[in-house]
Amino acid sequence: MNNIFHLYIVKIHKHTFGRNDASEINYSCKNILNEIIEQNNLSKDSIFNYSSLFKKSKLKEEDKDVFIQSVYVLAHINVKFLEQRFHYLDSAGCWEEMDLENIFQSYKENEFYNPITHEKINEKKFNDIVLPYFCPTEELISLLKGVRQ
Amino acid sequence: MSIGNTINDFISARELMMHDLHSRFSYDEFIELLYKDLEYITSVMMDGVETYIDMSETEISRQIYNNLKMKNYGAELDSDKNGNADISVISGSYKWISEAKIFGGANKYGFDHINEGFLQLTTRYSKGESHAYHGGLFIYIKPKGKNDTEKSVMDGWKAMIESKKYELNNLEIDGHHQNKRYLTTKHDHQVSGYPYVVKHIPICLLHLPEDKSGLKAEKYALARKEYRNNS
Repeated sequence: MNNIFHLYIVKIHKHTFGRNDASEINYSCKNILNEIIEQNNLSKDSIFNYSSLFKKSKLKEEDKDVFIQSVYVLAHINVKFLEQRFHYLDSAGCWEEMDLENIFQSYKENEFYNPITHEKINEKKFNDIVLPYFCPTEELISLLKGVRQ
Repeated sequence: MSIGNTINDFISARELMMHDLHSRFSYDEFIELLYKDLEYITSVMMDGVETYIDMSETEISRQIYNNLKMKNYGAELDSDKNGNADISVISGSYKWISEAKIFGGANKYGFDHINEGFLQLTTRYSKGESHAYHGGLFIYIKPKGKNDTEKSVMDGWKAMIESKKYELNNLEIDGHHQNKRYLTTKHDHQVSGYPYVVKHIPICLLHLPEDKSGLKAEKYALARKEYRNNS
């Protein structure tokens, strides 16, 4: 487990090297990393939203910007610890996965539709309905599987 | 302690989220956003142009690198000139590299110096791989005199590239103008044989205010004298 932790720490430090806020981001990433790696039932289906990751970061509320930066460092393709996805609560109260390419096009074209009613909405409303969440990457799950076997 | 779960709850979330998505779909999307960000970064640098006038190529490049890092790019800086491009950005399998050269300045660098950067970029550092066929050439213009404006330097540099059309196979040039200051060239890469695209990005570093207090200020005196002597 230690090796996996160190592998990601090295990737994070390399990625944040040269940033003014590197030490704060590294602290937050390290805490999130530690909590997730130590989680016994971690699987590809495990879900983390901003608030659950914030708790793991051990940051204070006034450090919201450091926190959000650290989340996207962990999700960066060069670090590959977390993977960003999107979902919304359907009319039956179940979480429905959104297609990433649709999400990307919506923000790029600045054109947003309510995924339930299909009516045109503004970005703020869309953001209230469609929420980002994060999963462990396949790389992380496969590394952990190797250690646990 | 409560913290939100939506993009609306964090000032930087939208930008960070989009950066993450841009690097997942296509190389062209990755390049498009990178140039949008570089345009913003260089425009902010122009606001504080006085800060960069006395800096070396490496020091100016470091400012661009720092700004790219703050935008969560996998940027690397080669400050020791140890056989790597000046600034590179790597995002998974996507790669973009750049060279930076000064035009003018204390050493009175000319177009040959810029051309050296273009050759380093296109024949030394880039290999023209499928996810690395875009590169950047930063031209830090330090005007020697009145005749060196951003436009005149870019016009001169464009003419020099045009004169190389027999050396650069299938050369295409998309010129600079008032609303798009950079110059884009495309030619067949000598290694891959496929098109390689270079964006030539000028940053003009001149700050000699002609208002009363600017003319009085001691700090501009020497630079102004030299600038006038060369004009």
